[in-house]
Amino acid sequence: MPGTDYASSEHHEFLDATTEALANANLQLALANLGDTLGQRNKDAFAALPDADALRERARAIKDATLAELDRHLETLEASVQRLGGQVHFAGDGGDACRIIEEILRSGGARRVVKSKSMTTEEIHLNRALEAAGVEVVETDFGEFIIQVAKQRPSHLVAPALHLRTPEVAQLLSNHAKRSLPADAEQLAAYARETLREKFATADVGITGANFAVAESGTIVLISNEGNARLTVTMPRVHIAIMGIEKVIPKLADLPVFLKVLARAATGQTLSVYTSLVTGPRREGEHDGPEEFHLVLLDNGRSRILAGPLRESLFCIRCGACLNACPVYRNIGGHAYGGVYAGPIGAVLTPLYDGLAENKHLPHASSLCGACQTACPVKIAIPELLVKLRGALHDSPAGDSRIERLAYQVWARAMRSPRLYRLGTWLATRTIGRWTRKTRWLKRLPSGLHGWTAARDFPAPAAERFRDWWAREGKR
Amino acid sequence: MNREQFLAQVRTAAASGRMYRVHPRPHAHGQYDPANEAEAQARFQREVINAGGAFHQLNEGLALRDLLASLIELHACRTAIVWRHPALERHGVYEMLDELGVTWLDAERAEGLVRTERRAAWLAADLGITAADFAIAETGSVVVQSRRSQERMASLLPKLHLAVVEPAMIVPDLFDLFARLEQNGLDQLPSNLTLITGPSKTGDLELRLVTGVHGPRAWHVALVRS
Repeated sequence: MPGTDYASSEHHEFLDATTEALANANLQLALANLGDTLGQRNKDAFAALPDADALRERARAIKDATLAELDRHLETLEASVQRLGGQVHFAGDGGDACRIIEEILRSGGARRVVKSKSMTTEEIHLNRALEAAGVEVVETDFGEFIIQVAKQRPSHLVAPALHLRTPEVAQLLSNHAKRSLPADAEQLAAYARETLREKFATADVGITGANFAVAESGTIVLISNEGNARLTVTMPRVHIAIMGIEKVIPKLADLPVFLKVLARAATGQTLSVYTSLVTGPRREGEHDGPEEFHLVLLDNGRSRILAGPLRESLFCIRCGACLNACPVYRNIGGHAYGGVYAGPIGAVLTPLYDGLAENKHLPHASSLCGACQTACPVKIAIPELLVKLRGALHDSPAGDSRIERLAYQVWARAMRSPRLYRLGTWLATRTIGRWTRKTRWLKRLPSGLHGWTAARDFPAPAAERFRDWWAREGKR
Repeated sequence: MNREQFLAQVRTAAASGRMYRVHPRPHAHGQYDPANEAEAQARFQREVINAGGAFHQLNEGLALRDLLASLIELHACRTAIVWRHPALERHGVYEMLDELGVTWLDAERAEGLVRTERRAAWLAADLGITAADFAIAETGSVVVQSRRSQERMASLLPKLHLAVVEPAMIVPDLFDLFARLEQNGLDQLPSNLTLITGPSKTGDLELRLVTGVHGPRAWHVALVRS
């Protein structure tokens, strides 16, 4: 729709958003180097890691085996966290999770919450719920802070403000600061540090996601480069972690397998700057860290996906590598996808979480080139999952197209009859094939098929059938 | 939805979906295995620098004093948060700070302050000094565990963090760290264990690297022979 702000709206027409993204000069500049920077660093990091492929297979195997007995691992995790003095909450959907967190805040009389970046809280729209309940919510990851000030949605799994350029950010933060800030990354980051340090020092509660949770020890793993996740679990009196149920891993010994591949896939680092293993609230005699720890386990459609044919999508460790590798993402950015998760994995997850019919274009927003699967640290077969979704779409009423049905009926009929096939190919070469002998491309297809030629040409049939060529040349 | 319904739903789903084609090769680790200690130390040094840290190889206490003096002068440090740790005692860090005129705060001194003063002092500190519980050669990481006298804040709040590492703390590979943690027993895990690999960083503005966005802007690792 004209006038839609795709950076803030979550549900919109994919094709319109794509057209807008391709025409957005700032966005195109912001995306221009993604493949040469993050994309290339991923490749270099894996090339330098001995036995990288075996490690990725191992990470995959752990995820697979864990999901097969997920209920048991969740119970172990629950028992471990309780043993440490933490509380575990079960949230069937996003609404449940928001209510649980609101209740924890209300019972502690919390007025201000600091958050470190968490896609899971984006998924359940936690900020909106808490603000409605009268709580001040402060995003502390630099990119998330910018996004929050801009009232937009993150456009990348690990670099949420990737779509913005420095002058735009300077403008946004100047409005926030009520003074003029220069378009300089250092000084803008310094402003964020100063503003957010004050918030950390005065917040009642810190909310984080979890990159992993170790069942046997009750350990929540938080990974960040900035250190805001550490501050979130150091300064406030209460720590609430929320995680999708698929984030659990059984053993502490499983963790290094994932740590070895996660940062390499995301940014090419051997490890992110801070990898924190949080095991319960602060202990007797310690001077910092939360006195109270809550873990919220979120289903929100995950058990449905677990039972279905796309279980593999739950292997995802949210590194963003598939986004950086994807030629589609690198052209349209994250907002066009709608939903919470962008890029190739978003094209799988958003239809699964929010409905296939509402997101019918997403499974097709891929050339199936396979770059995403190659970049994925747990080797998720994203192209295969997209094809499965396309299949499901075809079988659903949303995927029903009269012209497509007709075309396949004609095709099927011709393919079953050698005589009809011969006639069809003869007709095609004698007509369109000969007319386009010079250009070999069709610039415009008739109404109903013109969607193809709106943005690219269609290959014309050959001027001569193979069987005719063979009949002539094969005798020589 | 209550706990029982929640888990029952997951149980049914886990049992009904299918497992995937995975080919586990449990012995292929890609583990770094240095020939000797010197090689591991050299790798550690290289990786600390790769991660954006400054590395100092020191032979005895006097060299550490010189390093402290120059850092304190360069960064105009007046106050410090310091761990209470045997390695820091061994190298005489507390006396050096006194000599260099830095006001420092450890757990014991902090307890002498009222809560608000203590918090203000921590937030205002210019320098954080920690030892390490482990260091990882393969990744250039310093591993810090929270305890009564090992505050999380020391490596986090100040703009400058100095980690004093001894050769015996270095393990070759990330896998070795986790093997050691398992050996110690899961019940020995501290409330917070952090692998630090570089100064605080962000690439959130046009993927351009900026340090010190939340934590230390400068990260110094001193490898001191005892």
